[in-house]
Amino acid sequence: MPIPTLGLGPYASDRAISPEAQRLRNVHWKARDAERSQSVSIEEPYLRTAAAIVEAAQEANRPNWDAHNGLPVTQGTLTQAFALLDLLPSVLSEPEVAVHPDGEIAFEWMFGPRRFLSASINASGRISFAALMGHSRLHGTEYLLDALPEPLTYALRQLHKAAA
Amino acid sequence: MRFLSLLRTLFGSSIKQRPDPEFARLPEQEEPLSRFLFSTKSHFSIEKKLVKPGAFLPEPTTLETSVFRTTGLLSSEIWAIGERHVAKPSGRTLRARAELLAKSVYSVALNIHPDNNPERHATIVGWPTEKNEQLMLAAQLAAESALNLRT
Repeated sequence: MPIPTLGLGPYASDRAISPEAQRLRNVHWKARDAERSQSVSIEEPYLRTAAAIVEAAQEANRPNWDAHNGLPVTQGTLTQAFALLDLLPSVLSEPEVAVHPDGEIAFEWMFGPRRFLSASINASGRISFAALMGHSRLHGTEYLLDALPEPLTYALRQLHKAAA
Repeated sequence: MRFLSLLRTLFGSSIKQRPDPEFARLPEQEEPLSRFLFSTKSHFSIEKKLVKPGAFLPEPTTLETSVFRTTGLLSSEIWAIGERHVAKPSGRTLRARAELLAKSVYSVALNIHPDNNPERHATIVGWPTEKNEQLMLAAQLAAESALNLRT
């Protein structure tokens, strides 16, 4: 399934631009492509979520896209959203993708009206999240590094456990 | 005064009616509110029939969430308000509305400012500036609201 990339190329999650970074990027993506061909069932949700990110960003690509003075998604935010997608474990259920009025891209897991997690990312890699887990609430701010932040892992584990 | 009186006589039929001052008062706890929704991806989930937190997040510049007070209105009249005052001016397609009671707003320590401009319009105010705190409150409002799809 081809994924429209809004000019990002297939390396949307990679933010480095040096020649060395380009070389490493090619190695990484060749390895990833090889891995994908062996695990199509695992990669299909990844590809669907990637496509959902692009669709949501395209819908929100102009000011007032939401009729409530929403800000458009920027290229930087889109890049960070792909970087966050790369960190999501494949065992998770597929998130829905949304854009918030401030132009941040959100990953949302909805298991019911009082059981969901929304985590949005901005162009600087700041992740704002909020989770409702029955009567429990969890919210906070994390920054995108090399692994999914622990509070998000915790919330997702709790929600998946309750849904199982 | 004579001049104003003359104006009213000449143009009375074309002068806009003043908004009903009843809607300049604070909404009662049980009063229904509607938030008009335009994005099938970002405002609600058709599949899960749920309103998403993004539907209630405040406008980034004003930190206010626009709503309409719908007490006493038929469903068709509520849609007409959304068309006239939100969809048409923005050129967007109205897809759904989220309905909740004023007490849901008060219960998360947010307030309602009844500006009544246009009539029945109000804004949810008192939002914190931190995004994660806004998201938590918006998630609670979404959880308390009912999704009404436009057919």
